[in-house]
Amino acid sequence: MAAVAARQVEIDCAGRSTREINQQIRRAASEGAAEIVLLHPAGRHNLCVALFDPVTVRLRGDAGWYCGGMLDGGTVVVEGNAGWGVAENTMSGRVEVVGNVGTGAGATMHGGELYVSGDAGSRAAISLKGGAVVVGGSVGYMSGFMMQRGSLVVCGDAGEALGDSMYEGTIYVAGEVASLGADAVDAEAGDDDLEFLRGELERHGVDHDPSSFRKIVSGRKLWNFSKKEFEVWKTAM
Amino acid sequence: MENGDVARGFANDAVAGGRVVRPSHIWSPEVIEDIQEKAEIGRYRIRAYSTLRRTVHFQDLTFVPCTLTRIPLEGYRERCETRTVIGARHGAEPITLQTPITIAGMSYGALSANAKQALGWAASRVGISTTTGDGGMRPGEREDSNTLVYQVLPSRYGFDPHHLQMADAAEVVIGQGAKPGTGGLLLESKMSATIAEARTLPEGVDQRSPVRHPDFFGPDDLQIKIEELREATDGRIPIYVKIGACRVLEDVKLAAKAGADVIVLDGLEGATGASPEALLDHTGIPTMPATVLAVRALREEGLEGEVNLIVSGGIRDGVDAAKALALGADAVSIGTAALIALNCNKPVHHEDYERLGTRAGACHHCHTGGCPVGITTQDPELVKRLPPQEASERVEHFLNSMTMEMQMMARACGKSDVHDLEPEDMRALTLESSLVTGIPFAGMDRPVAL
Amino acid sequence: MCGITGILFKDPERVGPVGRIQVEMLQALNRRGPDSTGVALYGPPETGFLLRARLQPDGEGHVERARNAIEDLATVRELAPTPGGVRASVAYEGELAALADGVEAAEATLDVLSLGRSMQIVKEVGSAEELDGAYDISSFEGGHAIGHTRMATESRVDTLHSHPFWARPFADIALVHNGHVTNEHKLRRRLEQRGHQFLTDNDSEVLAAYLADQLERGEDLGEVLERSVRELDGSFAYLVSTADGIGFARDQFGLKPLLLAETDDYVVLASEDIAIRAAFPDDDIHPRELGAGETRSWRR
Repeated sequence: MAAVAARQVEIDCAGRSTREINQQIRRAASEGAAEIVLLHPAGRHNLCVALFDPVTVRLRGDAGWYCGGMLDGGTVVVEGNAGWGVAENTMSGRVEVVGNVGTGAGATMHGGELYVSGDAGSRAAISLKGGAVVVGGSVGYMSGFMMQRGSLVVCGDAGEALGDSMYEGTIYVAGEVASLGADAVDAEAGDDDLEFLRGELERHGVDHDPSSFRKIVSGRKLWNFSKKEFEVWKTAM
Repeated sequence: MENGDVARGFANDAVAGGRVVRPSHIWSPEVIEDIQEKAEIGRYRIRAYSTLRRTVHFQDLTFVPCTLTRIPLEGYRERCETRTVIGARHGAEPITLQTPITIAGMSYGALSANAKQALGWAASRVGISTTTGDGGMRPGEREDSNTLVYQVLPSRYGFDPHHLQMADAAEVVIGQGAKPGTGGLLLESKMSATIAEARTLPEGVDQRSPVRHPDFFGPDDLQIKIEELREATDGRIPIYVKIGACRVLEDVKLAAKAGADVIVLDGLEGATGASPEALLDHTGIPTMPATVLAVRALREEGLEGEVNLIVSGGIRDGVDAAKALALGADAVSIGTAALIALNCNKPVHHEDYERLGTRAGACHHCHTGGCPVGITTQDPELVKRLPPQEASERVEHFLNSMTMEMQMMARACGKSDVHDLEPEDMRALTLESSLVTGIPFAGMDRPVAL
Repeated sequence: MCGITGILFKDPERVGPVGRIQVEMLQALNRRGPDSTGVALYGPPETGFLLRARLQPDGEGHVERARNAIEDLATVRELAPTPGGVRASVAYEGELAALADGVEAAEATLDVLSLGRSMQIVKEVGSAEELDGAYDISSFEGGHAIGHTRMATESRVDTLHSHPFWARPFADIALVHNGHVTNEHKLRRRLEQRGHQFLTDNDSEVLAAYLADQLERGEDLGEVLERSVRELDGSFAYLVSTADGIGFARDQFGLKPLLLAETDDYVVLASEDIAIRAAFPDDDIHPRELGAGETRSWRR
């Protein structure tokens, strides 16, 4: 490891095992580093998993799968693309991806925030349990599937089956929605929604009119089975 | 009337009004009741427990202990080791079980807090592991159990990386024997405020968990996920993969290729707190043939002994366990048997069984949340009927009885270690069991083969 | 379940290091597919046909017997043993089915892996590095190639069950597939009824035949890809390569990963970004995940 500036540490991923890299990240954090830079991540999987230290890790390149997974308190910035499950099961903290991400972006997060500048693949914010997933570009098929709590903000378009089987939580989309999923319904955006969107968009430097977002929530018809609502249930049972 | 009590009236071509009444096998009274119930509710039937089918089971095998060809060990005196160490394949700290039994994953939600606590205390005293379930680690669960396996389920309800790091092993659940290929179920009456908050769900919903994990689908993806779990725990803990018994030969090989340290194989007889009934009877294969296939799969991959195998689903006593070990399993896992030891189906509170439409001895009504003995309920009044300390003693006694039965069989067969039991120590008592295990049918000197 | 890769240089005159690129990409995907590795490589087209065959090891003389078997049906311009069998360059007029079937009938230890004017399939049990060590894939230069690392699901681990599958008997068509086609038996029986013969019980071989069956009837590749999304059930991300192009399809649920990066110079596809970065570490490309049910093809 080379100390580049006071409290900034560089780790070259090339030639190191993933275990070594993650151990060095934790060691640098415990030794007081404020920022850790990973060089040549080259799409490596499982970088910055279970990062509990209040430190920023910056990847100069692409991450693989599960980057920033199980985050609780740290910050991860990917100056490139990321694979499946980026920031999955985040408890708190922040992950930011400058490029595109794969399937399951922000899957089952409990809190914290994921921001993707580019596009997300299918199933963005799947099983979301809290926190916010904000996507500057578009999201793919079945995004927001089985959301329970939290927010998904999409500045671009959304693919088919958006918000399918949502329990609770809110989806906001500025672009085109290919189709809504089972039991996902439109709702009126209120002042709270606009304020929330304004804050998110400003924080990420996204130039969009908050009132241009469509709000989608659960229709609550799948909460308890009703034989009279077979049309709603037949794809969800 | 979910159990078709009407059917009993027609048993053995009962006489009614002087004429013999004969029900059809296809359109039996049970089927008639089933169709008419569905005509009312407009969906599939839901119940708990497991298949009502008779299956090819360990009970169809017998041991052939030492006589003149070999020498038995003193049943009550000489050493018979039961200690079992598993999970070391990739260098993690292995799990040590004082006896080759584990308590299967059952959720706080499906089970009451008292039941979970009793299981934890019993397991700790006996020196075995318990497993969390859907909904995550309940408050106090880590303290209640000395050896705790943390499940990673498709729903990820309550999944907390700090709990993962506190656990002694992680178990990635692909499916369970009762209903492989489908997700978990917890109905409204058990979705209390506490349970709902733990699962980040609205109170009172009929929770239907997804079947697939949110961030991986196939075994090729699973191997990356397993590596993530290792990264999250610095490689310290073994990773289990739990599967329902389906295409066992292929599935076990894939679980091994994906990186599992331990494979937990749950057969058709495995039970659950709630499931569509059709799944219980019509999905999965029985635990005994599944065990045979799993052992063969590991042998063909050159991983026998390296990847550990735990089997579950219909393990009722130490004899079943001994036979599973003899077939090549490293340990067994029990769910239903442990609950029955707690008091499940105990003949008390008869009026409460009747209110559910059943009776002690045949109650499969965990899904209703009205468990008369306080095990599979969230109703505080019912939960009071299961004081955890005395309940834990019953489970502890039962676990000890299982161990004694295993040792008894092993010593009779001349083994000073239960893991030295082999298929050759057994004979089959049915043609079917001989066919599926390759063990000779009693009276023949070679297995029945087609 | 597996890893798949594809590389195509857009300029039809361009000859590039497709072999080295495939080896680097496939080795990076080794964990996703530890059982076997294979590539379909496309060089400049011949006037005759390139034949690649697997020979079961059978002591002395099997290479000679293979030569005889081929010479019975075609003019052998060149024939050489390979680590797993033989490769040959032949002059031949007539149906490729007859050539492949005939050679296999004449020599029992021989299985034809590929036939084409520009395509050669090389595949073995083992890793990409092992394949490269045996066959020197890295030195192959051409216009496009697809590759595969295998984690076997329901069929055996051996060379024949490995990918790429030649979409027999259609010259120069190959397939690599990640996933599992769950209506494979139904499709297999339908194709057998139409005269297709299968060498393996692998669902991917069925997929190759399914595509070949339509291409043989003159269907447009783009339409065949789109139809496959509707007609195939289960999970799949697959690449099909032809004499002058590559196409892909992802199942309607998006169950298996596939990424695409494209420049003016080339198109690269892979199951994971780590593979793309292994071959193109410094290029300014932005791999994106392809959509559920998406299909596309490119021609040089």
